[in-house]
Amino acid sequence: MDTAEELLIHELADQAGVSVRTIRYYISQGLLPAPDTKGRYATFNEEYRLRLELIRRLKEAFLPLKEIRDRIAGLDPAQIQALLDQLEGGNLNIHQEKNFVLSEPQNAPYEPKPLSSALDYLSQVMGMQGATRSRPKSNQLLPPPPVQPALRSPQQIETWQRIVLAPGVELNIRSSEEPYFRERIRQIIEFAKIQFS
Amino acid sequence: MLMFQMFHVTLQSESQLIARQTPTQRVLELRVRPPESQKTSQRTPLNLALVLDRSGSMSGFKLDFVKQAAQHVIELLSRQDRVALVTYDNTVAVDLPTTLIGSIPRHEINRRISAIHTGGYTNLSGGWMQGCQEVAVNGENGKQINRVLLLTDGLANVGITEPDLLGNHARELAQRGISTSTFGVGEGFNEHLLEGMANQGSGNFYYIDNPSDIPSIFAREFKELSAVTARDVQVTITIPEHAAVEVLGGWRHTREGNHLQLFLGDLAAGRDQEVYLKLLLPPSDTLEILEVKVFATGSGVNETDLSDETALHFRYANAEEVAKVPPLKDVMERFSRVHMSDQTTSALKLEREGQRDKAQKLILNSLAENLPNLPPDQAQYYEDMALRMQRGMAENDRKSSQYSAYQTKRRRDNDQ
Repeated sequence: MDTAEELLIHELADQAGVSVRTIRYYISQGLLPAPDTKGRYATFNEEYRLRLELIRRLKEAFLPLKEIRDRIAGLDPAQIQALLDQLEGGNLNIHQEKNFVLSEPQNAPYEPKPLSSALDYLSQVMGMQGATRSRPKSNQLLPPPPVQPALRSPQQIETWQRIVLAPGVELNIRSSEEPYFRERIRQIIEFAKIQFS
Repeated sequence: MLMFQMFHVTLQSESQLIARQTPTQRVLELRVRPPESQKTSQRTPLNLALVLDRSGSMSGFKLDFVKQAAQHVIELLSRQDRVALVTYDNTVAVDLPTTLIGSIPRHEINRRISAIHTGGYTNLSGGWMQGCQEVAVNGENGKQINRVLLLTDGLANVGITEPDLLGNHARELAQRGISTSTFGVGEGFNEHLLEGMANQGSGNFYYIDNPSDIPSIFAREFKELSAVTARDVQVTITIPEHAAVEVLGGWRHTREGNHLQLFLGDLAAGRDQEVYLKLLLPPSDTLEILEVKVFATGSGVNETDLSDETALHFRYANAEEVAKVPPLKDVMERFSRVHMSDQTTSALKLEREGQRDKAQKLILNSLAENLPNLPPDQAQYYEDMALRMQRGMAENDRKSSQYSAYQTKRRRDNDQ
């Protein structure tokens, strides 16, 4: 096995036709061994490419990841190559052949759903919303800005008393508090009368 | 060769002994240390969209400070960074489509910022998604930090307005590599919406009480972005069979079988990120050890790969023996602070809905539970808050209490 060639993660991803994220995920789930780290870069040898190829083939055969993991754990590169050759030749029925099962599945790791791109996602959501990419017209007539509604929902609305002290000046009192503050509120109103008259 | 990556994940619990006879509750303190910054290495390029509210309520000095903040961010960006400028009221305007800073004179960008004027309603979702789209156009190469900075002073009242739905979209976009930080100005915005979007969107949330602070808060976000040494940090925790787990602090996570996946977003050098989990570990007659494993990954500066793993072993013992071992006080205090902050967020939501008695009870009950771990000033703080909740809180009190809880959850209490 030629192990002279050491790949960086994105090179491996390119060669194997998977995303960097998928490789990280496989490592985290034990489908691939943790890589060597040379200096600041994690490096990957030919064996990783073979393993990724085998994982891909087994996934195509609708094997769940946990089963793939358990089946390929501990295989050496020669065994992986042999399996790939068998799969290539159609000589192996994955769903019956259990010769290379090393341990029964234990945990059930999950497989991340393949995601659409951010742009596809956005165009879908924005399409549903009927969003328009409009530029403001300089002389566009806009409706007056709304009064901010209260953050609470209607069934939780409290009752408030509104006392106009002067044009444009108001005093708001929550009705439930009014009895406690009645005298002080009266004083404020008296004071306001003087201030705003 | 000297290893200078130093991407570390560690685990700690208040005690590693667990009872044979009954389920044992344990705190799991997960700490991720991003690599130190390298003087020689360049920072990761930024791909930003500034999404700014120009609804009617922003007019006057608020908008002036926003313009100042935007211009300051432009000054701080380097030639390899990208920026887009989106403003929204009822309508959404792309004032500057995503642009490489090196490809356009800065005075041209500043001219466009100066031209922003205020209009009508608040189509927050439309503006935000337009910003996401600008970032997404060049967002797929994996070599940069993709982030939308969303500023508002009001309630979303046009477009998508449901907080949960906006949070979902923020999560979906974060999973696709576009993070969102939110900036709430003044008293009119919905703090729970903006915190939710930042939590689900793998970004930061800021409450800006005084509009004159907008430029300095934007600068703080920029400083953090330029110090990021670990992008897209994800932690997989393998939980033992029959154990229950709860994630504190509002972190985005998914659970599948025995694997809990935590998404910590982009981490800046010089600040460890702690996350707290509550574990309920099963009793066992036969097992000696229960193992909790973690595996953390991320992308470093110059596209290096970061990964680290560790495990914590809990040892079974008789319940009497377990009870004799005192828990680690410092772990419990840190956990209790975060736990109280989670409860505060929930209580503040109740208070806002007018359920004051419920809010007060939630705070007081949580305080009773956490009291043994908290210093006296903390206990006093929550007692005072419970009282204010019962009376009904002022709008700025709601917002500053929620922001303070947010900072504690993110372990940012000491940030200025």
